[in-house]
Amino acid sequence: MEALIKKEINRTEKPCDPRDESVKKSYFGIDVQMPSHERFYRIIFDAVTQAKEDAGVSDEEFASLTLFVGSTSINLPIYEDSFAACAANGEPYFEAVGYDIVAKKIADEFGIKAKRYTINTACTSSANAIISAASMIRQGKIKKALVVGLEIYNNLTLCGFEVLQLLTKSESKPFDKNRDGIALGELCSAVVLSNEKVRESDFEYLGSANICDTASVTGSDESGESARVCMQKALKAAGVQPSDITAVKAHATGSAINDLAEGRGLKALFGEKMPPICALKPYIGHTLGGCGIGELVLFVQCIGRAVLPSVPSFETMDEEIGFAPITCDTPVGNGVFLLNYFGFGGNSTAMVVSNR
Amino acid sequence: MQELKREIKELIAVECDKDFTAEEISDSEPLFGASSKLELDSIDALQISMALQKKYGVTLNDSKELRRVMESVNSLAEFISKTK
Amino acid sequence: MKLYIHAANSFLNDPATDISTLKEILKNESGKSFRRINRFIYLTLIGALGLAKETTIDKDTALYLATNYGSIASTIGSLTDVYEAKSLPMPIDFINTASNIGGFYIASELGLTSKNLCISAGEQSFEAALELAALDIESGEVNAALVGGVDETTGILDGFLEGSCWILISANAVGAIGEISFDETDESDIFSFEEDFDVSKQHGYYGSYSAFAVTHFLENFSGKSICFNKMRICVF
Repeated sequence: MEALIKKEINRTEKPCDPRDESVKKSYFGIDVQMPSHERFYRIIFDAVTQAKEDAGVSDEEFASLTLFVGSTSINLPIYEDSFAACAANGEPYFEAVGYDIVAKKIADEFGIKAKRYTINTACTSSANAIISAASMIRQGKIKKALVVGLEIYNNLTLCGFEVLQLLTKSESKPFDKNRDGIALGELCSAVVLSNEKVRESDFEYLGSANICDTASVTGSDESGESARVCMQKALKAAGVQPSDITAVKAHATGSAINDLAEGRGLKALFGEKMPPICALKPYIGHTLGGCGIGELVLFVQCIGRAVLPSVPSFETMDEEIGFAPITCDTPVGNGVFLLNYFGFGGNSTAMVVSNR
Repeated sequence: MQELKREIKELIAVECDKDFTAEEISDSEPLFGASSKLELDSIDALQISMALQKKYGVTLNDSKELRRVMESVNSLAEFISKTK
Repeated sequence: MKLYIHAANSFLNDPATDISTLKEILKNESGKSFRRINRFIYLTLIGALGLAKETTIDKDTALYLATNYGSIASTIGSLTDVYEAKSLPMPIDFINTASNIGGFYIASELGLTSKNLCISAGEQSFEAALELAALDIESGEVNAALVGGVDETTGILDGFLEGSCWILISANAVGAIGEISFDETDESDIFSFEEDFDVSKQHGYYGSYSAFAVTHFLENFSGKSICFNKMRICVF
């Protein structure tokens, strides 16, 4: 495993294991020497605090927010450290902590007394978390929600993707003819969702869809039909047509099958009138369950700066897909945007947001 | 060699969670694809590959080699006895 | 708001049972063999497909799987490979660490075309799943929902049973066996209802035990009603 980690670190210029000694400044600006359990929660609490401050929510009001967490690995980074330590001593380790553990710790830290929901649906986890939160707000059950997307580095995930031969040997090249797999990433991202705007520039959630692609457990319906159906349903729920879509944030992992399925789905949905297709994974890696919120935040912040970033690694169109994502930074203004997410077990989510 | 082939068949049955006896699968018939009796897929291939590594210490490095070696019980047995 | 329960199915099991027994049970419940699945998925399928056997499940039924602990055996198995055997995990084991894989097989088997979620909220995971299902039925996003609680206990949580308990709900009252209403003010604890319904004493409990409490109540307390977590279940 050490060899695998070193291979990953050498392959990309950016470190993927922030605990590596050679890294001076880790992701998140957090000291690499910090014990991983502390680091884990420091990352989460910092993200939540930033969201709270950005939304201008008082401590008191924050305590009444309903909490949604979306994550694939949840607290696995800490769990596996304990497991490893016991294994090193020849002791068995098992602690029944439950999937609610991170949500509970966030609630304890911020005094959140309201209900908590943890969504665990592979790569669509935090996307599904926000659409559940949005539904609750829309139907007047709650006024505000805190939605957190989380995926922190852990060895098991890296090893698992390696054994499934899903990792790229070069870099993440979404939709490219020569794409060869996924580059993983880690993040924690948080949003405060509310029934009213805080700033004029705040994005509005218009609608979404979630379905299960039953073609294959780790793959996708290669015809693209399942992806198309998911996106179509989301547009319908949002009350918009394909021609209303200003740009798309694709899931675009750089894997052979996912990009083919999603690409064909996009082509079938938009036909000749493809809007700009943006892909963020070359920048932050595939953050699995965290990408729902993480890529949403990144995407809306880019739009806020009036530019959609190019897909830097894209070189050659794949004829089977038949279009290219944006290859230069693209100006963007107010509009209606489609965001796609597809995960293991065929879980598929698409959501529509707008800043009009 | 016969013993090895029987072991390989048992390994496939266990790892791929398939119900068959060693007698039901010939040494030469295809294991993968539509024309095969077992209809194993790419996930099965990865699973078998890891199981072979654990049991015999052999590694299959790329997907091309994997496909070639996994064609049949014969090709698997040949690969393992050559590499060990 | 009121929703109607059309079917219920309980499955509780001794965690010491060998997985080959679960395989047999699933074959009986579903009429077929599944391969490359783990204990958590066996439990999931036995409960959900056991319910499907008794009733009609429309293709546009959504799925809400609640779990407290998720896929334990596969996670421990994979970690053991990585940290004790110092090898990569077995591919199928790793895939099956995801708790939504069971949802995939159910959707695949029943031809489901709607929402598919896996939710956790500690010991109130089943309640959380019910809430989200009710939300989506109320908004019209989904027509019906299969809601279940599934948990392994791997024999390490001593004295607890593993389980998979499911109900089918919709806004349609016709043919219902019971109803759920939400936003009740009564905050009673389902486990203190009456002596012979002390779920924890009689059956031990597993992580999402309120799923069992609900299905058990539906199956045994005709004409009665019970309140828990601000929901009221009435059995017709």
